Amino acid sequence: MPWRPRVLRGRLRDQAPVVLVVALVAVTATTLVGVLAGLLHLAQTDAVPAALGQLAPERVRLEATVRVDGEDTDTALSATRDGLARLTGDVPTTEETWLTSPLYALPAEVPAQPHLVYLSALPHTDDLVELVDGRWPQRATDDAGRVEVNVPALAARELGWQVGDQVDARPWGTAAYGAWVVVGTHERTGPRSSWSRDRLLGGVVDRGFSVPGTIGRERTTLWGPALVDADALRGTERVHTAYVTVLPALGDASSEAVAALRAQVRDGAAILSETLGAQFSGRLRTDVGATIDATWRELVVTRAGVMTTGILLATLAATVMLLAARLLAERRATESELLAARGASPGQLRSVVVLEAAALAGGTWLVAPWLGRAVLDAMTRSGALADAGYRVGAGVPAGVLLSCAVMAVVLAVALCVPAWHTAGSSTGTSHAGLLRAGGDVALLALGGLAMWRLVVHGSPLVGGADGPQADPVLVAGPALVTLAAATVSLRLVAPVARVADVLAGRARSLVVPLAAWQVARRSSVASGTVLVVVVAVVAGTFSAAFAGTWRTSQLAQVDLATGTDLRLDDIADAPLTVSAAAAAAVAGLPGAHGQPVVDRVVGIGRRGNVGGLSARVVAVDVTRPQDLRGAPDRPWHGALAGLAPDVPAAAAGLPLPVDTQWLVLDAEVDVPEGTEGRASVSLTVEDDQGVLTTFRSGMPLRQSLALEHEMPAVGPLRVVAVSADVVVEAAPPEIAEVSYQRGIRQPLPLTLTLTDLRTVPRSAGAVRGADAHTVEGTPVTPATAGWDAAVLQDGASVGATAEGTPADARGATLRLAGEMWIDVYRMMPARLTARAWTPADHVPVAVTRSILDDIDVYPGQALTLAVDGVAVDARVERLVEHVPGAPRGVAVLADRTTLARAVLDAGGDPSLVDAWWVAAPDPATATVVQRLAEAHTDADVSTRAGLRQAALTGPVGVAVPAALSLVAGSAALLLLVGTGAVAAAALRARRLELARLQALGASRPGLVGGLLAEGALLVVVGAAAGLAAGYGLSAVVAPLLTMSPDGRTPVPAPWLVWGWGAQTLRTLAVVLGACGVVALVALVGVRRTSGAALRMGDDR
Amino acid sequence: MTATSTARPGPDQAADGPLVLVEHVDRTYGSGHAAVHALQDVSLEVAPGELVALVGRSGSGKTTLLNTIGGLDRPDAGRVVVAGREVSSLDEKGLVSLRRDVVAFVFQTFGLVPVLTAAENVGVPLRMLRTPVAQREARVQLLLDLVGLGPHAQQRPGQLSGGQQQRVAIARALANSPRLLIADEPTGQLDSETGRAVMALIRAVVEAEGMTAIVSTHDPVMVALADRVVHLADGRLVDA
Repeated sequence: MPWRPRVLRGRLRDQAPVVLVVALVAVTATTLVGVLAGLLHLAQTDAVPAALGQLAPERVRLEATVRVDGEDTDTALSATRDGLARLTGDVPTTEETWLTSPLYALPAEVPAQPHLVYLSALPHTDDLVELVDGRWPQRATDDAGRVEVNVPALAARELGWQVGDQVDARPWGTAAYGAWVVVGTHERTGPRSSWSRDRLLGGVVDRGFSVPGTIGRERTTLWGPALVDADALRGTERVHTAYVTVLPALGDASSEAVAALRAQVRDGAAILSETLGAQFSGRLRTDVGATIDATWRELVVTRAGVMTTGILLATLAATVMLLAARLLAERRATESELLAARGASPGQLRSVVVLEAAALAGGTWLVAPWLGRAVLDAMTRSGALADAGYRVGAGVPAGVLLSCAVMAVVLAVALCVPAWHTAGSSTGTSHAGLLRAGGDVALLALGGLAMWRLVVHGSPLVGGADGPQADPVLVAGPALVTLAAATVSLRLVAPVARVADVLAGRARSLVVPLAAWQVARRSSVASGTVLVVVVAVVAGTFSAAFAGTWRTSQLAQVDLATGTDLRLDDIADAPLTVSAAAAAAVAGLPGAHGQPVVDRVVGIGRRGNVGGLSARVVAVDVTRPQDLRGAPDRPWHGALAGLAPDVPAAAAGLPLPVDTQWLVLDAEVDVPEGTEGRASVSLTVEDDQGVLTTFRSGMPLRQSLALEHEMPAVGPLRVVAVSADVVVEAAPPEIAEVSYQRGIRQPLPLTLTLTDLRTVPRSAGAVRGADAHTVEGTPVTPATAGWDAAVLQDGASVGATAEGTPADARGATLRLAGEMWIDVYRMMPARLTARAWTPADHVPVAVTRSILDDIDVYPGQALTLAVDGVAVDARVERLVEHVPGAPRGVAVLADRTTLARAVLDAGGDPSLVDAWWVAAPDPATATVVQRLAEAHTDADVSTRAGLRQAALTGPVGVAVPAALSLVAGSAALLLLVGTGAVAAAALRARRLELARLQALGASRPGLVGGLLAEGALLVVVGAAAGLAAGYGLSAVVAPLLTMSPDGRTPVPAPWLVWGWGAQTLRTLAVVLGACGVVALVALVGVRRTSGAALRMGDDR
Repeated sequence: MTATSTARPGPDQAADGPLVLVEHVDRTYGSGHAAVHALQDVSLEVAPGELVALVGRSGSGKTTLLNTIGGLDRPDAGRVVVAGREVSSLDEKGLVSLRRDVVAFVFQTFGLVPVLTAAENVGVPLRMLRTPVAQREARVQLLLDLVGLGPHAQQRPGQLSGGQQQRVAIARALANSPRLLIADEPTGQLDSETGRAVMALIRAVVEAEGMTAIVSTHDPVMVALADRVVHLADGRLVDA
């Protein structure tokens, strides 16, 4: 056998323990790095598909809406499918087709205004429609050639259709009737949002449908959809619009297929247009591109977080391996001298070192990846990673192999470098000193540079052609800073040691003073221990602080973005309906309170000048700041103060009985004879939650019109405002003439009279509005005390009167009177109104400070908001950092009631309910969600708790806290391993010295105590320095590394989460652990220190 | 095997019993074919105040015998008595007490703690006894003056010559006024002139302090200075 392998085999046989320790350290350190690399790999391979697979269908589906317009249905569908197939490529998909026919007319007494019906072929899924009677159409026509239709149950009831009836219908615009047969009836079950492809959005009937071709002059009733088999709509002249929806199974697709889909979708409209050709027109609607981008961005954020912590861990692991290498080098020094004495050349000695290093590194590389895989497998068997869909597949990923290989190379270098000097270099010491000095400077410079870049840039991500990417220098910043901090910390050892040295000289005993002397005068040993302790404590404390900061920030972002505990968004139900449902959902739940919220984007500008700037308006009940979330340290009380105008409390309004179905009245807008124009009379009702809804009716001037408004079956309502919007097209000659000749405006008397004002209860069974007029109702009490009446015109308000007359046999009378101005050169509409509140001059608002980037507007200045098509005057009360529910961009915070009333006065729709916010403690939240589901509330319901959970456990983002936890645990483990390696190396080097001290009378416990004191002193100094450095690093870096899931700077800005108590306890625990390891090593080592050790040349 | 010895009567030999008594001591390292019989049926007596030179070839068992007498090694058989204490049966505490109060070692490689100054090294045994600082410092200074190294008190071993280091080691050995000085080839790493000086110093302190000394050596000078010479060969005392 050649001599080199023989030497190695001999070493392995005789020095198995030390070789085993070094191998164990190397495998442990490399394995931990491999685990992190594996985690990064899983985040990339498993997390993205899992995240994409968990997305709601509406976020990934592609919907092509094709105007078939009577052309051949199959041709249109084929072209559409081709286009969608080009977009989705290799991604598996499921398809859903929804066909809608042109309009059909039913036989009518008035030929010009027949009831209209349309046919649809759509999936008969349970979450869309429910069969009420009969059956679904099973074929295009029955044996008699009649089209099988399943009609809405409401249509069947009102039109008197029974299953089996024949219905004649003709395509609108033709005279030839065809025959349908009613095979069943159905009702809509799904939320209104799932009926977005329906002409009536699932509403079944539109009683004011504009007759085609009349531009709204003539109205009729439209019914639909009548459901048919898809074959009934094949051919030409059968389909008006086709909706083809494909749902890509992104979770089952390869990453390349997903990337290809993303790329194709960028040109999706063009691709669809190309396949449709000139024959058809269509449009593509999808959010899949933005959704994929968001997931990819989150992956980049995760990658940056994991890489940052991974580099930190790798740094610590490399440090520990260097120390282990020193242990081996100490062991080899004597042997090398012996071999050199026997004639071995430096080259031969180095070749042995290289061979041994290669063997150890190779062994480590063979073992660590698989161990890492096993650890990762255990980590993903349960807990957050398992829930997120992480699964360790067969084999070891290339990234793990590569990272372990890098660590193995580091080990090999670490083993070779110290041995290189002991193997013949005569300049080793000075060379190492120079390296250390240069390394200090280089590390400090690099660390400072990385910090500076990180602080200036504000994030470890940089922009790239394909979106944000992690900057290698920035993600390595914390590791560089940690190393720099560790090297700086080594400088702290000297002054501490000097003090210990002085104290030791004055002491009587030996044990502790000897430890102090060792620390003070053996700088290399002290450096090793302090270095590993500082790096480990910095890594551990930073990881814990970063994890806390990350977690807190993610939760804070959710809290601010949500604004409350539970939200209802995208509400499809009528405002009063959802208001009643929301009120019922919180009823009886202690601490639960719901409120309607305005949450929409509006135009904003300086007074009277609403330009291109838009802002998000969030209007809430400003008297309940305690119901808002997202400002844990800065409660919303301050932001909301003063946003409720200082006006008298509103009057009671005109209450309607709880079971009111119809509000019936005769209305007349009276103006002097000769006035021409039109009017719109509106009544605004309010429920107990403060939700306003206005019922409008257009009417000619000076003519009484019988009106009826159907009230939803909700809780108590009251009439709180009555208005007449008057547009005068021609004034009476005498007024017009004066205005014309003198060029000044003239007053025109204006009266709105509501008579026979009464309610009809639901129990009266008046199905139609016309029926309500024939039923004797309950007169409304016209108590208008406290009401404010005015004529609003051209931004000015002129007083008016509102007078109620007690009810007669049919109903009450309410009369509003005032004057509008006539200026023949500038005719302006006027509003004669009376409302149960005193109007505010303006809406007080708080605006986010970011508005200053666009407009110089400060507290006390006026703003104009364009809400629902009308301009509302507002005044800035204060500038704020954030607005609940609107974390980014310019946002405006206002009182919802004040805003709604202002919108009403400005002529807009006051039923401003974009969302419902519910403040409720956790158990109550679940109850509210359940109640809303039971009430079939048609809205998106989300809870803060659920969103918080999703923010922390989402498939992609969950890797960051997992990595941080891994690093925190690994730091403690590597600290123990590293301290043990240093202690073993030190003990080995001083073995003879300790034996001699024993010979001089030192007791074994005394020597162990001395070694422990020495180790403890270094560990404590290192831990203190590490704790301080960890805090500094965390304070500067942790908030910068914390990002929003989409890679942007979080809002609110993240703040450092650093618990001195917990961090000190954690550090204390690892200090005690390290001291325990030192004590153990000393106990074992000193036991072996005996007379045998004094035998020169005995190296066992 | 022939045993030879050259004896010279010690000062207190007649007045007291032997300070060191070694009876039929065996010591074997390893087992089976690899067994090394370091000591075989060794018996020896050393009277108080006697300076015994232990000579023999390398590997003859000198160091093992010294370690056994000093309580650093235990015999496999036989017994060792030092100053009336049966070393071979002392527990760890007793051994520590023996080394602190009775026995002092001087090693071939000096055995100084590298990070300590000469004065601190000399003070190590005194610290083990928790001697008051003032007393310790006075004693250290006295001993360093005795070995002629007073001016070098604050120098570390690395700054001293080999002879100076060994003198520091001797001063350290004398710090607790031991009754028995065990020196394992104290001149082994010194040149002949320095070795002679060290030997003379040992002779002088043995006489001055009235202590007993067993010195393993190859140095003829030391042999000449010894009261008695004991020969060891292959672990056997060939002449006592």
